[in-house]
Amino acid sequence: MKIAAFGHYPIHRPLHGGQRRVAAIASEARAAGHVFRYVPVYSTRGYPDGSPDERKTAVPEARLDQLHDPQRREDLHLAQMLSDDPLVERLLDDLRRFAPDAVQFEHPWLYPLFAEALEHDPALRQAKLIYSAHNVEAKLIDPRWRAEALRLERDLVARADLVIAVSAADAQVFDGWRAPKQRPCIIASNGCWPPDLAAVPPAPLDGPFALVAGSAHPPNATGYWESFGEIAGFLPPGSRLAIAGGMSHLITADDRFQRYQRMNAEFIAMLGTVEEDVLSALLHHARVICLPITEGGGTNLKTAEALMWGKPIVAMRPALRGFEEAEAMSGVYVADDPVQFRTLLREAMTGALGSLRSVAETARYGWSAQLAPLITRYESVL
Amino acid sequence: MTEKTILIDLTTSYAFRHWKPMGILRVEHEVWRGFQAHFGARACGVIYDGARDGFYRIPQEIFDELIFRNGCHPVAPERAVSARSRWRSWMRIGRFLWRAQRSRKRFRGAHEAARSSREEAIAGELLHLSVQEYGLMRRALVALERVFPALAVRIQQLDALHHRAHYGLLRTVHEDICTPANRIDPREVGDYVSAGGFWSDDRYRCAYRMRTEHGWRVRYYIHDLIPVLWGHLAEPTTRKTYPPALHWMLWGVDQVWTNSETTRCDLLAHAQAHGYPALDPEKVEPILLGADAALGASEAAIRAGIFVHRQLEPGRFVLMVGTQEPRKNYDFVYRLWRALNERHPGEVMPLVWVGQPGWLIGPLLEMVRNDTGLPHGAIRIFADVEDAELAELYRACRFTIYASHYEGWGLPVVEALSHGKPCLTSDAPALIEAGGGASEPIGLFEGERWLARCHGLMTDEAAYAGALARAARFRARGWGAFREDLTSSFEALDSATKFQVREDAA
Repeated sequence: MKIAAFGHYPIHRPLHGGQRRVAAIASEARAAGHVFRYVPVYSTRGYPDGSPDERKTAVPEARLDQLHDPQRREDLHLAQMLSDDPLVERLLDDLRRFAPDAVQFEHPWLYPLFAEALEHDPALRQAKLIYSAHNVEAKLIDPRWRAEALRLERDLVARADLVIAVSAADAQVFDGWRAPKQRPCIIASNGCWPPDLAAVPPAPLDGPFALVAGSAHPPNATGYWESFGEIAGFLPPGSRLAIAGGMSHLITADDRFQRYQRMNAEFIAMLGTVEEDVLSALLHHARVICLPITEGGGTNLKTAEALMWGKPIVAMRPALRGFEEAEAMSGVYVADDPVQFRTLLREAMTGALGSLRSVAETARYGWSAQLAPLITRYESVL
Repeated sequence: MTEKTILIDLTTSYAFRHWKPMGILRVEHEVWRGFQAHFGARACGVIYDGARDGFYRIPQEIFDELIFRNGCHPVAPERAVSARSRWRSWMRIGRFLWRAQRSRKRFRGAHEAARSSREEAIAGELLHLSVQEYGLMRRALVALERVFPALAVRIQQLDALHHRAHYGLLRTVHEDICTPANRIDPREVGDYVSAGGFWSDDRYRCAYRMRTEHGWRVRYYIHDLIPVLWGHLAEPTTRKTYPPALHWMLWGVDQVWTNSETTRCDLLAHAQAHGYPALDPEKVEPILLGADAALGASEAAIRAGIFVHRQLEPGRFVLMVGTQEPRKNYDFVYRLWRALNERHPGEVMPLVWVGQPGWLIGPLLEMVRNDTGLPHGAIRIFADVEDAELAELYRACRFTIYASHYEGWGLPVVEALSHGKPCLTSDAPALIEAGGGASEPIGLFEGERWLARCHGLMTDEAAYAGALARAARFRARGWGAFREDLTSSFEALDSATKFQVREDAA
């Protein structure tokens, strides 16, 4: 089966959760024998490290100022902004030549560019439409844009031959938007590639540390401040909180961080964006993995990753969305409020809380297992 | 175990011995007095030395001079004045360079004795140059540095030595204290008591380590949580150094005393909110401060002299005492006095501010001095008032004001009420607590109430008599009670079962 997938970021070097999910879908689909072509239409300013192939379909340089206009959204208004650009015709020509059996949209944003062609173009109208959702976007977007996003998202959900949701809660919303006779959504939760637990990489930091990883997605910073607060009282002297990923920059730029600069210099290790091997080393040596997630939708692949490492996890309850059953596992500590989160973290750092989670228990959180409902249904859409 | 030494950390009193013993220094003194009287030789007054990372016993022969009598300050030595001509100055510089080189050869080596002798010899030669001649030499050396970049380090070392030689810092009392003989052997210590500014250096880390490695029981007297709760009104350096110090303290403490129930509640809430190890509320005890320093009366002649000198009429001025800094809210009281003078011209008594200038107060003081809308002398600023004179000002004032945003305790409130004077305060919790029901708290947003009450206390004798009666309800507490409560609390814990789970990341 030939699948053409569109998304608004490259996946050559997947960093944030969305990129990792799409990369995993591509990998699993290809492993199952499908021809899976991913076409990213993206800003090279936001994602400077796309591969040469991915750069061919990036938003033209001349359009970037318009794309990054603060009065508009880079995702929601992407299709509108490109509607008269020659890039779209080129993408359609490529698509016609590829002659896909199905066209899959990662997020709904690029769908308007292709909606008409998919409906009427003789070479494309036979292709099935798949919507691969990452969240219920209309729920998360700024209220100012909610109506516009909802219109777009509902339209795609209603027209799609197959809708994939990341959680039961999201699936319920989408099913509510689909006609009764339409096929119900399938759920393919987020996961992670199984870590190599036997390898012992060198420790990237001295002393014990708790780890939090996250991209520069603003809700990551919100979750950080709500969960950890301004003063890391839960860290015993000599230990640190390591922050990896783009969220570091959001945290350090914040007045709340600057306020306690000296204390943070001692207790917080700001690592910025790290390579995959460094992240693995951090996960390997962390005493506890923190999931300070307080808002957002979908399911969090950081949660799947944390679960698979077998370490103690201290999480705010929203981090377990879609992984509710994991709360019963050893070493998974879930807080309902920030004070409880900090107390659990302190106990994990002092060794009072441990983890006996086994590899067998967490195997279900691997990408292969999580994406199986999607990969096995591809053929059924035809 | 019980016979082991009790270390009383006096580092703050030592470091700030040039200050008048107010506030935190006074508390440290009283803690020492209490422990010395109660435990005798078991109590040992020490200072912390950061460079050597250890505690040092203060020798008995200099103890009182150093801690209680503002003594043992460095004395700047005499130094040469400039030569009469430029070429003579250059001659001197040449002679200095030659002799300095000779001293370097004579006292060669990296060991302490050689380094000390070398520095002493070169410093002695430096004093044969005037400050201007040193500057002349330095400029020449800096010019040479362009050709010989390695000179940069030498210039830096010379500058440091010059500074120490000029201010008489080459050999101070510190070197006499921090000798191997005075170094505290951690194995002989059972308890460590800190009542000073523990955030000023690394003493809290050392105490934490000693607790972990040698089982010291560590006890702190906490004055407030201003740098974390009211950071925007805290002095900038303290704002940076206090939070990590409090962090280490909260992770390694066996007993905490606070100066008020307010500070106790603030501390417990802070620890709980940020995930610190749970403090047993019973091990965090308020030991209220004493206030008998302001009691006693001076002779009538001296008293009269004070008021003539200050151009004040006894009974006809209002007093506000406290370090001049934003947290004390002098700004509010200034605006209050301005409004009173506008509304009731000729009826408003002068307001006297007594306190040493603190941080970020300059612009307000300048504004007050240049305010043409404020009658001349409506606000008097006294930064140089000694304890005896302050007591007279308390006795002779009409009433007192303390509108601080936040305090750990309210010593000026207690002092005013101890003198039987009405005291209007803000509604900061510690001030209400310190007033013990005898002060008059008014919220800082209740401007009209402040105006009406101040005017009433100045003009309405019946209202004033009522205020005096209210102030008379205050029961003063002396420092003796403070010392007794503190040592009793220490002993109570000493005899109780060992407590506090020691949590550690190791």
